[in-house]
Amino acid sequence: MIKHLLKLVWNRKRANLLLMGEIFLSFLVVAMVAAQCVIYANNFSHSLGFDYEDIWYVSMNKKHGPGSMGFKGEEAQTLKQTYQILLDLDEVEMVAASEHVPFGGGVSMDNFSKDGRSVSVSYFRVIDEFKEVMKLELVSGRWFEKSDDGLNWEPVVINRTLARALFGTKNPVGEKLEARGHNELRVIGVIAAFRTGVFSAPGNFAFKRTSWSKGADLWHGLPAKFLFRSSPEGAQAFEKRIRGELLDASRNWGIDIGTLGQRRETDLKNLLILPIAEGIVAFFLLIMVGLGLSGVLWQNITRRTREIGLRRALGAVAGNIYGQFLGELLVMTTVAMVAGTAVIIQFELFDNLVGRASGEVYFYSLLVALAVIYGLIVLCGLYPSWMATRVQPVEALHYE
Amino acid sequence: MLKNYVKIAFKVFLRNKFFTFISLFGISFTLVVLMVAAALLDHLVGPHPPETRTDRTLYVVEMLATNQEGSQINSGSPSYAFLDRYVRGLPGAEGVSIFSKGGVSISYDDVEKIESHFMLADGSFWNVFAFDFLEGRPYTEQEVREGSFVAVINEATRRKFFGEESAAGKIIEVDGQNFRVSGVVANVPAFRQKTFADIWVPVSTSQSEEYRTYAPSEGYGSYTFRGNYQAAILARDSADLPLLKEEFQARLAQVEFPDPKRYDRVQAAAYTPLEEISRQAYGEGFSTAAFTEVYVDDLLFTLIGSGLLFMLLPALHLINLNVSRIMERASEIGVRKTFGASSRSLVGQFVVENVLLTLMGGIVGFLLSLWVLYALSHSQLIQYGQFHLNYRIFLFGLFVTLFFGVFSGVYPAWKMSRLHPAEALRGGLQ
Repeated sequence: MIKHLLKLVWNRKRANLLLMGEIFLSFLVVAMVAAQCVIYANNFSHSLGFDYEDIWYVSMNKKHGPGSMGFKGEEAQTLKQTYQILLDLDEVEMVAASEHVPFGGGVSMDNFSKDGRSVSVSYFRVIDEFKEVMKLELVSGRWFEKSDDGLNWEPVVINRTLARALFGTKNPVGEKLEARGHNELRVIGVIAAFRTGVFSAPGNFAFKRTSWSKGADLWHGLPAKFLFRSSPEGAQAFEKRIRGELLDASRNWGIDIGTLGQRRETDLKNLLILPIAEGIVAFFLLIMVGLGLSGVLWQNITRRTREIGLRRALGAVAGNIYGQFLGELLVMTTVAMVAGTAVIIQFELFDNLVGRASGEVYFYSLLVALAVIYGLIVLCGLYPSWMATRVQPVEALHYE
Repeated sequence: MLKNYVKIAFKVFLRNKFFTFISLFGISFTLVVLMVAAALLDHLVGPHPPETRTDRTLYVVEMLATNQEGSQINSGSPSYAFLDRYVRGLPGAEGVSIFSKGGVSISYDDVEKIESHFMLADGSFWNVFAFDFLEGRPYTEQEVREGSFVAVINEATRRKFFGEESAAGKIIEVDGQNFRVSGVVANVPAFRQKTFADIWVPVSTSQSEEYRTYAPSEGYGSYTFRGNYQAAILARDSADLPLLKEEFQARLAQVEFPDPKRYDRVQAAAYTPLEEISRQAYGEGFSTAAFTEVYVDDLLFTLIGSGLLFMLLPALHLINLNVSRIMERASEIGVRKTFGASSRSLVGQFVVENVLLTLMGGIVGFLLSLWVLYALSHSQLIQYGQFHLNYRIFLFGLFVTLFFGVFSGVYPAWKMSRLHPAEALRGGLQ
């Protein structure tokens, strides 16, 4: 049966090649959009590693100096005062400080190596309170503590992804790490997970330590983003009060205050704009292709009336005709999609055009694209094939 | 002759309305996507106020300070002091402006919070860029030197603070400081990355003078180079750009290093707007070897490449449609062939017909693009974004339309013109 269908397709190879080209391209388009969605959904399903509910942030940005660098001297004084002011608020129990704020606030990057294996790592430099405010889950070793001020090496806490990447199944606690231009680094603990954006991949992540007593002496200086847990009544009034307290600092610093919940919403919105636009374009492309295909198929069937008439005259029932036309169509679709799959895998199109994709992403995206295209093709083929079944043998054989 | 073709074409379009609709849908949809993309791109890099002289503007936005060992790497935006010393007064430039990267400032109107993007800018900012003043005037070099608390605000900010009233001469409170409004400008859309802000104030309104001083003070070692500023260089003529770039490199070679152990080399370059964008898209901030590299070729390749790739599917779609609908007219072709029409004249006729159809689709697409751009402007997806069609985008759209018309018409017409008259009369190839 399939051999026969292939032959039928082959007989009209030039016109069919164009049709298959169209299906091939549509498949690529759908697969790209699907890959984007699968990557997002996959990342989204991983734990953030912290609890963002009820967390407020106060982000200080120098109006003149560099934005993301650590701070020293007079600026360090301002930051220490800010920390104290926030800590003194009635609604606030504990304040953490960090180099960056989660959800679209950037990360610091470094390269860690161990036994010649080098990986790229995102990190935050934080103070000891960070773990408790963010409710990070420690799985082994320990978190930073006050006595770390006296260490002559630099302690780091890493997430499980990074532990796996550098140490495999070995226990990383106590191990040394190499990184360019640093004191000696040692892993002191492992946390369950940490990623900084709604859709960011669960990649290698580490925490480095800073403290109010020591930070200002180190070349990296002090962090300027504060985080604390609070659920005050009247968020607006609360914010205004904080601003009033920080009025002195606000002359030279731009101060951003809000909740991580708000940041998350914004992050979500910003990240979804592009995929949604792509989705809309792809949707209309599919409608266009669908309409075009039904037009072409309809035309083909009108032109093959005599062939259909002959088959009907020789005893083919409506189902046979249906089967033949849908079958031909599906054979063409399959050939086009096999080619599409080969191209996508061969040229690693998702990695090159969408973003780093795992084998799983490839599998699910291709599966989705396959389903969508088959669905579309069957939908487009139904009406023209039904038309074909309506052909009366007598009329068809008369047809000139 | 042409008149006849047009007449026949319309008859054919009306005869098979479903096909005509599919063709029009395809072409107009494709055109909408391409024209909207072109409009976004044009508004990002093209000359629009206040950046109207993009063809003779250079930007210095990033720098990298390193030492020979490679143990210190510091990259990011330069400081005011650095730019003031090494960019200002560049010989051959018509003007140089130094201004900060935008930040957010907060004001309170009773209880209501007003969030504004503010920018610290010097006096020449208003000469280098062409702002459209609705009332008042820009602040002057003199006022900047004196550290006057004056501000230029945009239309939206005027509305937030003063409603429909005029603002010039009135006082606004920003981050706890009072500024006298010297002028009001039209809103600058957020995609004008360099000039976008709600409130512009003199750089000198900072409390401390530290940003000005180049010599390293205690504990501020890195700030002599790095800060939160960028510079725009306006050339007299676009032909001067390469010269200005060289001039800037020559100045960089003379940079003094207060602490050579820490840093002994800086890399930076003056970029045209397109080069700047290409760096944002492809530059790897951390790569020290190729820090000043530009990626214009890669950017153009990707843009044109993805445009062509996107057009491939609609093109195939139209060819498929045309092959089908042209075969429907086999008997007509047969008759014309029997009466001696040459292949060439038949191809000509069908290409004209097809171009006519795509032009119709083009008009629909054009109107739809206008609507989409209007909706985009109104959604305020991009703050203060106002997207208009201009002649550049219009010509691009026309080119795409004609390209589709000819491209998707030639192959089916050629195929059809080769039909044998007898066969054609019988109803085409089976």
